[in-house]
Amino acid sequence: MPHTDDSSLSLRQLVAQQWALLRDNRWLMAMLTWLPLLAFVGVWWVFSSGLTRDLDIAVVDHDHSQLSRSLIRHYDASPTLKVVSVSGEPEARSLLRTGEVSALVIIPRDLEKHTKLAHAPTVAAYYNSQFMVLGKQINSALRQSHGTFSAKVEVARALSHGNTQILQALGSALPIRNQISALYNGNSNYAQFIVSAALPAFWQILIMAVMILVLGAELRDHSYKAWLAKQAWQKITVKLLFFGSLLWLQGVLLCTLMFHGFDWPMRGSWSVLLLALLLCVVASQAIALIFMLLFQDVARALSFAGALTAPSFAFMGVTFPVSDMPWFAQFWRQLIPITHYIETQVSQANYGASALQSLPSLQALLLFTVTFISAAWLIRIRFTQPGTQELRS
Amino acid sequence: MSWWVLLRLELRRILANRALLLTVVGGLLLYAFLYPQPYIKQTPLQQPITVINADGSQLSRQLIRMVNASPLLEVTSQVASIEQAQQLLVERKVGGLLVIPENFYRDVLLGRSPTLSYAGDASYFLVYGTIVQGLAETSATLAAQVKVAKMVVDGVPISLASQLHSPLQLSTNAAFNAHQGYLDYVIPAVFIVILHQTLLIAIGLHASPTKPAIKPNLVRFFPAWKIVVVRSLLFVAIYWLMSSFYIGVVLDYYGVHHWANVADIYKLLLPFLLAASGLAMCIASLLPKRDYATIVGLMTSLPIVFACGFIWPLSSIPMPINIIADLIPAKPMVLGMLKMNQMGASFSEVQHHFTHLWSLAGCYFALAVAMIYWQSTSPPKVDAAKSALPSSLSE
Repeated sequence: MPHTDDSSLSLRQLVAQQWALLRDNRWLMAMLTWLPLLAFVGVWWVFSSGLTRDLDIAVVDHDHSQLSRSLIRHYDASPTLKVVSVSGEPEARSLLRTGEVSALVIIPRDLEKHTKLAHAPTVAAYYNSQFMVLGKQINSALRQSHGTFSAKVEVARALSHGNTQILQALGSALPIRNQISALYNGNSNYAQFIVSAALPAFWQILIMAVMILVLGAELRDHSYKAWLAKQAWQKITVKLLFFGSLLWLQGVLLCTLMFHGFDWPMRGSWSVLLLALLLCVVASQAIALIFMLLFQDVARALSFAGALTAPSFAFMGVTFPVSDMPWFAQFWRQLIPITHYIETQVSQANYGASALQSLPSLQALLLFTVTFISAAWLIRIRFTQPGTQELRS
Repeated sequence: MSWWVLLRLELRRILANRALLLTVVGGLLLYAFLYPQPYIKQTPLQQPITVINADGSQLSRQLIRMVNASPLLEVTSQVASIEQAQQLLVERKVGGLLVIPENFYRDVLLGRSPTLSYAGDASYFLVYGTIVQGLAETSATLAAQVKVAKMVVDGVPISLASQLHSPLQLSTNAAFNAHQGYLDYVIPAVFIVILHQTLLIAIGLHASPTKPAIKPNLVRFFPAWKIVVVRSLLFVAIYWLMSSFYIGVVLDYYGVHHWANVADIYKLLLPFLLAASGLAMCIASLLPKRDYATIVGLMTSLPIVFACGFIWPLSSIPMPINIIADLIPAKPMVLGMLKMNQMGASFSEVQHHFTHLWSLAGCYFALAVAMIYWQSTSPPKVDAAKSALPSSLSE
């Protein structure tokens, strides 16, 4: 044993211990360096195309007229849609069931005839809404494409009836026009939407795993008695500060990657964002510490940390609105630090909100530090009994 | 005889491993409850929006009433300027805004096709989609009403006019997830990933050493392939049970639609569980310590969910990611199960996923045998491992 029992460790020695722990554990080193970077870029890469284009749809043409062919061409001209040729309805249905095409459009017999006779025939479209992102896009693309085609037909008819004013004909075909804008994510970039939330969720899991691992390294025979018998405060503080700052740097790197690397807009204040990252790390550390002190077992602490943070992406309220979650989910999400962080990130990066508006989320993160008090209490009653200490010295 | 001994030995080790039982039983029960929680209400309804009414006519008021009547939307406020509306958006009081332009009523009457502008907060796609859909539907309804009213003025009987307002109509229908529920969209796929990840963790907790540099004893007494067979058998049996619980009981409890029959599901499940066990045994033999199994399981879960192709279309995912993801048993299983159980595909239509799973099972089985065999013959790396031990610092 290099250190005798009665000599206490200097601050420098404590920091050196943390460094040695990091240096000698390849896994820890990976988790604090290249692994998250790989994961960040990998997840972004999945969504990197950003927009879905040329989604396959099957069109069954029962009419085979000039009108139906021009309708099919019109669908195909939409940037979102791509018409694939099918031999008949059974094949088209099978393609839809197996996800080969995202929608099935059936053009009825006598489409052209009924249109000319003003019988208003109906084209039926069935889109796959099991894959919801695709389904919604297909639905709106089909509606839009069909709407303009229908208006064209109507204008042509009006013009042929002697209504020579194109504008007037258009006015009667389309009495109200629509202009739709997507705010804060101008071109509805799905990558920006989902990845900017998924990466922090991943980072949250990483923080918990790293902290539990480095705290677990001090366990002797499933107990902290040996480690915390002396200098408990110093040891814990140094450890949390050392790894906390590394994890915070990782968060800073993550934000730099998102707002500079991927070039997503950042309209708010960087200092608020950096503060939120820091508070998120500290809050997660508090949870990791209390789990480790309670269980004194890495596997169990990881299981609990996993139960809490693995579904954090679902509870963030980015994919599904918080206001529509039942009370239990609303309560549970409060317990996950990253959900408070993501509120700050969205309001800063997207809305460019003032620091004041992000205050509630920052306060919520600050509230997690209350856990440190219970940790301190636990350490006092469980690990640093003055009796045993005197006995040793 | 030795089979029986090994089986009993392994079973006893599983039952004595509290971390493993906590993950398999506790974890799966918890996730079955926890994961669907945010999505219980299925679809966001009554999204708050604000209206800027620059027209103030009877028609514009009618439009606002119609918007309010839409189940998707709720007009919570009316403001005078874009700036005020933006402030409400930033404060998250509303998710979208509708601008009715000046002289809206007059322009409609004169056939000048005035433009309704509406906007939604695209930071939240589902909310945005709901608001835009609600407003687009309402505006289309109003447009149709205007057309019919004009035709009636022109002398067309109303019964005919209501049919004629569009030369050819489109009816779009949601196939499969017909009520477009978010729970129905996420949960069937995520459950498969949860089963996959907890299986990885469970086998890691079982097969990796409890302390670094301690060689598993079993390989000294039994050949590697026997260990792999027995482990696969035991974990497939356990997960057969847990999968039946997830796919049969839990999905049913949440009212998720299911089309496939039980025999087909089990037929697909077998190679999936074998492949996942094989992969897990390969990973487990790489882990220095069993605790890392949980870390691997937790950290890979989110990327696997995204690479499975139900959130983002496979055709839009870069090729290298698709190739790597094809090595993970969860992907063909998620796709196969979604097609069979959610989209009503027949077993022959998902045959290629079935073949894919069997080939993964075969590869990982062989690889696991090789890796465990290699582990048993390689000299114990006590020295190298000891320096990796954090305990060497203070001892």
